[in-house]
Amino acid sequence: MGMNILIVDDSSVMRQMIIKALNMSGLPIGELHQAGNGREGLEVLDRNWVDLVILDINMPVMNGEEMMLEMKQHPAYGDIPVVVVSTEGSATRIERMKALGALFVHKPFTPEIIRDTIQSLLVTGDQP
Amino acid sequence: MTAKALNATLMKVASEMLESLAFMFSTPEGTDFDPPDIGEFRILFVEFHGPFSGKLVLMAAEETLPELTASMLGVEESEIMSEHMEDALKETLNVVCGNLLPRIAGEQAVFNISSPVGMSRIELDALLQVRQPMAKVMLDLDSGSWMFWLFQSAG
Repeated sequence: MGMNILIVDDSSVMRQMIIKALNMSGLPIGELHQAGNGREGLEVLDRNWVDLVILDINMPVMNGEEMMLEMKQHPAYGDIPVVVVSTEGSATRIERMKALGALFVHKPFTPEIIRDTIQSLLVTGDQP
Repeated sequence: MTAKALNATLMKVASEMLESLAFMFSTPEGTDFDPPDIGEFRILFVEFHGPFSGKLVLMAAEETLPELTASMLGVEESEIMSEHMEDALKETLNVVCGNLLPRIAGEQAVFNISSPVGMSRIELDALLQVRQPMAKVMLDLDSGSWMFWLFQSAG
């Protein structure tokens, strides 16, 4: 059975690039959901079963860090693995996201990096 | 960082990001230029706040957008719509800005970067009249040129 994945990014082009990378990855993909900011992402989580969240940081309305903090406080979403895909260059903020349990992929990325990062979640079964 | 070093950093980051995101290769055209009066261009800017604040402005030749967008999306140019081109350009500017700031301010610096928005030619001219950019570069692509200006906010 494939993974249901939620992609949260305010750029529709970037969401399509991530979907393209996922489709090229050979990973077992189930339903793909999309959201344009953290608030919309939480609404998608309310309505759907999601196995993995791919999350941008800088977004309007609710950014990725805020969404992840809300997820961690929610009993149903706290354990969903998160891969942050962002242009974020601040080691300080990246460490903050990693401390919340996220893996980090820097934009621009290659499909192989997306695949390897998600595969590392599947192999270990948990987050760092 | 000197003005020359800032220009070199902006040039390097912009060309690297174009290559990584869209497999588009650029040639440095220098730093002594004014916005061209002929040709069709789209102008966008992104604001950032952190250890220093300001905006990064991009003026991109319209002819370069189909190739950029098709390459980013992995589709044929004939399948592209205008809003895709706008979004591809915005994302490219966002990625350039996100990768540029830590190279200037260091990896520990935390910046908040706003969503890219459009700017008119009149607004760009007005900005250039009142503000000296920290850095400015022009890149030549196969089908047209891209220009970047990095401004620091007053105060």
